[in-house]
Amino acid sequence: MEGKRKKNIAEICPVSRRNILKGLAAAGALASIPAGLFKAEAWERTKFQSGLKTFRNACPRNCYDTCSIKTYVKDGAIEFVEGAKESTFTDGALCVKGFSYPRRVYSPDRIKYPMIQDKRGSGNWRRISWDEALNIISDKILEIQKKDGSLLGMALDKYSGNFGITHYGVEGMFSSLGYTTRFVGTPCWPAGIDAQNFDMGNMWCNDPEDMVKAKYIIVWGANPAWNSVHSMKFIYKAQENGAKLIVIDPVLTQTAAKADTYIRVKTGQDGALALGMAKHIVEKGLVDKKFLADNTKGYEEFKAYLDKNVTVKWAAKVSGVSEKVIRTVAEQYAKADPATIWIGYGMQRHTNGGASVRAIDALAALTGNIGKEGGGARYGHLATWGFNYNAMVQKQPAGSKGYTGKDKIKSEFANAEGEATSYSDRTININKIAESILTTNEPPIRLLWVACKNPFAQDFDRNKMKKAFDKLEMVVTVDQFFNETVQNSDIVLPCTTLFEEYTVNVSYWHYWLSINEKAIPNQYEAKSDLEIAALLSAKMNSKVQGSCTFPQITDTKVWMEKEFNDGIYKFFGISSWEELKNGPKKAILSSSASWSDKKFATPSGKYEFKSDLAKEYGHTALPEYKEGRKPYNKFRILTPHTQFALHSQFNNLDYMQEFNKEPLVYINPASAKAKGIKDGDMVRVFNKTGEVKVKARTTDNIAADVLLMYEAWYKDSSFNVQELVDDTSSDMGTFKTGAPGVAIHDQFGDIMKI
Amino acid sequence: MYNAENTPKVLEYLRDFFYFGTQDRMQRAYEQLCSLNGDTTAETDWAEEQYCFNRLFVGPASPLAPIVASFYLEEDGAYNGQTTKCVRDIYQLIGLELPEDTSIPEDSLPMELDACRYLILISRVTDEAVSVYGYFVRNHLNEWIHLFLEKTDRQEKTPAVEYMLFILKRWVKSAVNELIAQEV
Ligand code: SF4
Repeated sequence: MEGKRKKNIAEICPVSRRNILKGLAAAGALASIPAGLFKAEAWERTKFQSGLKTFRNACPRNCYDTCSIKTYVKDGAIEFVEGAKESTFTDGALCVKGFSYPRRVYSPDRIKYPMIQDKRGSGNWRRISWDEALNIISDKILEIQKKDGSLLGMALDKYSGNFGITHYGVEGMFSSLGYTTRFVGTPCWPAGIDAQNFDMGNMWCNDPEDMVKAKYIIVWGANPAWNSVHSMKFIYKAQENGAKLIVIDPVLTQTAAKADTYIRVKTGQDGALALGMAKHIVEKGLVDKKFLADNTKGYEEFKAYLDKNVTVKWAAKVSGVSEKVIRTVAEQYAKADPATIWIGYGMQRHTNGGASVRAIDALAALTGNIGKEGGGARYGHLATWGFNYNAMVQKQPAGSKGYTGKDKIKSEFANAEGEATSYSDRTININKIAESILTTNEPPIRLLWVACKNPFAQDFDRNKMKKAFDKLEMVVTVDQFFNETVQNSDIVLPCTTLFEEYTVNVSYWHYWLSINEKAIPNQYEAKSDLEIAALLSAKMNSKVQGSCTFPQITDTKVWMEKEFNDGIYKFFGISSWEELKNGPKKAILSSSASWSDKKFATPSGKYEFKSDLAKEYGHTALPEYKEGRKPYNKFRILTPHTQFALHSQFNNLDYMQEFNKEPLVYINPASAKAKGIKDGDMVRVFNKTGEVKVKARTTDNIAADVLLMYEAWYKDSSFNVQELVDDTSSDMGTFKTGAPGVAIHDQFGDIMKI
Repeated sequence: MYNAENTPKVLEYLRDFFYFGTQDRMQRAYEQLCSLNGDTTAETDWAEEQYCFNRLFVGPASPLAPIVASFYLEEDGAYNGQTTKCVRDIYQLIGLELPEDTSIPEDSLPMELDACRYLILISRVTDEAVSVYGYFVRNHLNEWIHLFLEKTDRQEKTPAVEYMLFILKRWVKSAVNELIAQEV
């Protein structure tokens, strides 16, 4: 019996089951033998299962593609996974990360038990039972309540590690305890969300599958060949049909390599480029007059702005793209029908990111490409997210005291957060966690609960984060793997993978709905976020009756069922969620185009070149040029997402390390030469925030003034790009998500050979 | 025969030590085993014993010497592959299965020790169990336990952890030797 060799039991074991059975039955042996860790079965019940059971799952990571997965299970263990064929988006395939799921589930490195660390950061961990863990935590909660008279000293840091809808139960757990401190906003895409809301009244994109209809595709600051692999087939199909693919990016990405034209824009100057294109389109009379007349507000003012402030020459100088290229691409885009632009999230992570998105939206509006199949200014959508958020919406216990300020929780995914009361939660910008923990008092944040997130790897200014954690009285982290956040926690609680719980998933990009079934037992002592909330509720109530309102339901299937409603059923053409057991379902769309009825959700009901709402939020009413952050060092530091991880997830797996062995800093050969750096040299990359030591790789794929490192942490390595990224805000985000984003790509630094 | 009278007890205490991993259970198993072997218990700090135990075998950081056969026998070291399956088949063959609420791979050390203990006990009433035991110890346990012990050899260890590993090594060695001798 050997792992590396594939023999079955008949070959490897010298006795037959029948013989043994006979022997033992005759001897009546079983009754006399204590079973130990096992449960001894009657021989008649001994079974050799054959055949595979299939389950429906969905990849819940923060990824455009939200793949529908089919999972094959034998004897309670996953044999393999594949993409669901029923979804024309997933189309039977997963990405390399998705295919690695069985390794993730069965990794020897998974956190197996609740554990407590004697002295944070010491590495001295003891195993404790769930009961002990919840005892310690509930005691702390009650202590905070007693000391402060409220639970504002208890803060939740949660984001996108698992987007299963029932995982909003973590927020629910917090509400069910009282008014607490919440980190609000999103590090990801808020500037663009606000921009699209100002322009169109919502963020709503065409079905990505309709890119096949496009005659001209501009992928602007996105790299789907890495980060939305399933979208690429629609782009390829459009190319086969004769469409041109233009990629605008400061980096020659793998998507750019597939393009007919690659345009290297100066980082953060996308707005200037878009305005230059707009100016040329207007000058050439290539605008869609009917669309502008019927469906827009403020076109004349925008035109006047362009006339007065923008020239193609100026745009070329600022963006680094030649006048000729600006004119050519502008004309081609305006003449193609339909033409589409995919606006990536990377390009809005700037101090002028929202303004740039508005300028790009304007191109789509000028040319009448909004509301058109195969057209659109695609950024994302939340049209399919109309669930009940039953797990999230919980009532505070009677008599709870909270914050008396005006803050209201906002989230791009769901805004419902209970009834209006005189008290509320205390809200803090999620992108300023470290700073806020250090400076928030009355009461200070005493207990931090981290779920679906690894702030040390994802949040900004790692050094400040360490100081902030040192200030906290207790840190509880719920996770599947050890990372720097766990290292800086007091208690770690093991959580289930997607295969160990029920939930439901939709995408912010495509229009498919998938259920996620529990396919295997919880591994070791892992529990889902909802089970944890239910158990904490039971524990709290056993100590102080009425201190937690969270329903004590531990069956994740029951929670999942509660998320569905008639609206969802109707939108997806099903009568019960059970139908999803047969495979994912796509929303029934009257058109694959968003805004196809041209009824925009803005105050005027039109596309608003001129937005009073934008002005109200402190921006220019028109999509004007906004300067970016002033460089404070020689090089710009870019820290985009890698192909082999989602933030810090996946990169710890051996499978992924085969592809992505070590962190690297990419530098243009000319810059490397000037700095005396050769390919493979160890270098220091540093700025006012911190420094990293990393191996250099020279490449022409980036400009001479750029240093690029992919964002992630690596197992057994302390490399962390957040040593170099500060928490400077992007320009927009407050309107829809409650806080601005972070100018992740407006960072600067220098490099030196070690 | 290979199973000296007290072998099931030795296996039981080793099993408990490696299975429960909490101070009280580790301490009890250690003391029971020392007493069974007539060895003196070492003066030790049980908090340190737990830290060491978790660093080596459990986590939450990547354990330095996981106590699961798959880690050593599977190419990718992941659980629930061919190795776990084969071990599960063996258990089914002898009429054992893990309770449904125990989602620990069947090829974890404590489970395998318990299966050996069980096989030794039932071998008193059926000869077939003798063959399964022989096969399991020689062709499976013996294949990975040395790789596991080698990994632990390179690490610092607290006295109780060290003792239990020593007894484990001694038992596997003697069990294999006895099986070879019987063959001859
Ligand atoms: S990471 Fe994205 S592309 Fe990969 S399996 Fe998950 S959803 Fe699909």
